[in-house]
Amino acid sequence: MGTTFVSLKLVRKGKKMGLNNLKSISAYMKEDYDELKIAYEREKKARARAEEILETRSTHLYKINQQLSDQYFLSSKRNQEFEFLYRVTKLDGANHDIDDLFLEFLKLSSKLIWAEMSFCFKYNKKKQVLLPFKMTSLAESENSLKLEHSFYRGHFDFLDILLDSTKPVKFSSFMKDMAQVDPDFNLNCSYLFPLDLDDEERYYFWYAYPKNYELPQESLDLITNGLYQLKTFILKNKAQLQVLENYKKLKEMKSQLIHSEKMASIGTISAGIAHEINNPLSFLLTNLEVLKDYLGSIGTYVDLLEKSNTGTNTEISTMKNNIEFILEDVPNLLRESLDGIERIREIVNGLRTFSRADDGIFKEVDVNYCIETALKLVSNELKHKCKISKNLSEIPHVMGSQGQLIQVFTNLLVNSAQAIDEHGSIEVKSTINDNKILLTFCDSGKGISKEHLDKLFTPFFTTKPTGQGTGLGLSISYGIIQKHRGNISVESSPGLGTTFYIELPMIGSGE
Amino acid sequence: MKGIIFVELSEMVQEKFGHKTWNQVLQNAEPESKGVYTAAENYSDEEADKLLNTMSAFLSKSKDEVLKLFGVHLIKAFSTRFPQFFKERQLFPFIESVEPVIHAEIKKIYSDASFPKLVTYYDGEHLMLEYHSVKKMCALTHGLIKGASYHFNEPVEIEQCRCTHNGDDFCLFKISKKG
Repeated sequence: MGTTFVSLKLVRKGKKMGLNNLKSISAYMKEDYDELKIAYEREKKARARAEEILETRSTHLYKINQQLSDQYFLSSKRNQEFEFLYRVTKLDGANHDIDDLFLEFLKLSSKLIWAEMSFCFKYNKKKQVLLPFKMTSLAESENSLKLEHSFYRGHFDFLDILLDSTKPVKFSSFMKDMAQVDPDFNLNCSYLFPLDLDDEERYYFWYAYPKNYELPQESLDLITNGLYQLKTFILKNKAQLQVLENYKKLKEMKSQLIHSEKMASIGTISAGIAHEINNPLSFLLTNLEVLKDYLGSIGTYVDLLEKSNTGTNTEISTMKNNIEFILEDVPNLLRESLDGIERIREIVNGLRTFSRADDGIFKEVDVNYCIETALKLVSNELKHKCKISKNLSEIPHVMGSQGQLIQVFTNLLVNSAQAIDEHGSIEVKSTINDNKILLTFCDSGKGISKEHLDKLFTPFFTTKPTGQGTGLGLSISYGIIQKHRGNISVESSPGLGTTFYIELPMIGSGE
Repeated sequence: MKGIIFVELSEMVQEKFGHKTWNQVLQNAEPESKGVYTAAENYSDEEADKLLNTMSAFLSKSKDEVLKLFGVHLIKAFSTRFPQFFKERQLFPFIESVEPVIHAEIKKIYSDASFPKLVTYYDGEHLMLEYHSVKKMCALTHGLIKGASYHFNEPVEIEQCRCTHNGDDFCLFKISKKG
């Protein structure tokens, strides 16, 4: 499309047209020139336009480039932030205790926000006490030691002003004070993040820099978020522990329930046995009484016979000696039998009380009065070997049987006295706990071993030598307290002592 | 339509028919852009159509003939502009590479470019080329095949078996090597 091409074409065209004259050629060239000029102008415009586009594109490219590098910077920052959050999340699974958890968090967060040093301290909101907790330092400088010493030397009073804040706070003023304490101390800018665990516990995470450093809002948010996560972990773990504890309690309640069931069935059996024994016991007693009378008659008869017959028949006299011996011995036999029967009767009565067969009439009873009475009853047995301490609070009356309650308390006090070998103490308390009356009988006796504890309330269980105890005392007490819709339990450490707890419902508590 | 097509069209007309012809075509067609074309910009399909119609009337050639001519020119121009797309040494592999390689590469340069869909299959003797496009510019495709055949110096016979202008769903070319 160059000029040569045009000229050649022109000459060719000129020849073809038979135009040899120079003037015509010149006119043709002029025409071609005009066309070329139009094309040239158009091309010039196109070029200008293209340059304009190029310029726009260049600017655009530059901006894109700029944006890209900004984005790269941002994304690498985001990457760090994600890694931080990810690692914080990972802290949960690692089963750390709170100390390790906070130390790990301090390490991770210090790295994220380039803190020279970080420090965690614990604040008790109720007691208003500040305690150092965990510390980490990026540079492992001496500053951490100095800071910790300062903490103990009480250079942190200034913090009182900051402690009310629930948001991250930046501060530097205290560092001037620090410089007075130690001119080498060169941490001049600090951030403080609070973490409230509950109404009482608050932790502060402190990050320090040698020079003034402006943490961007997103970093502040990030640390705050991280701390929030931390709190979630801690609360979650606490909840888990609570669940475990509840489960344990539930298990205990289950075993208690099984125990009550067992006691109830023993009660039913006992009631049956007591009833069955009572009948033969009644006629045995009557018969023996009659036999005693009869024996009197026989004795009188033998005396009369002796007076009327004074012969020396040896057979008779031997027989007489025998009869005399029998008449002498039989009253003893009868008395022993009657004592035995009396004991059987007591046992049967005890069984009936335990099995609730014997329903006393319930009235309003002052439990403290019952305790006082019981103490008086056993005072003889107690006064020489134990120091008695009474701690009776004002408690409402209960519905119950005064006699039965005195029986229970007496039984417990006698047991305690028997558990004390030489000298000890018994403490009796009455309080209100959880809307119930709680009685505590605590002795410093020899205690009860673990294997005996389980069987303590079972009828006929006793550790005393045969003949010295029926093993019914505590089972009767158990039955009585059950009848009062209460609960009796025991805790004991062998060698240290035993504590009995009795819970009784208050009047109108609906239980 | 991409500006490069308009630039090359103006190049072809000025080269083959002189500046005067192109000036006159522009004068008659009165395109919106006044003929100031740059490769970087896009121009309307109507503008292309207007130019083609005017050229057809001006050169006393059918629109299809003009398009075929233009196709031949485009291959020549592209081989200079984009030598990287002409690495194939033979015609058929080149045609087969248009859709998967060349169009994909051009898309990287002009992200807003749109292309016809091309499907090729070789039956051992002929290369069949399906051309699917709403623009219905099969004549241009014909010219492009011809231009490529010149570029690789492989004479071929091009037979159009189907055409959207005749109511077919797509256009189909049967390309057979001569001799």
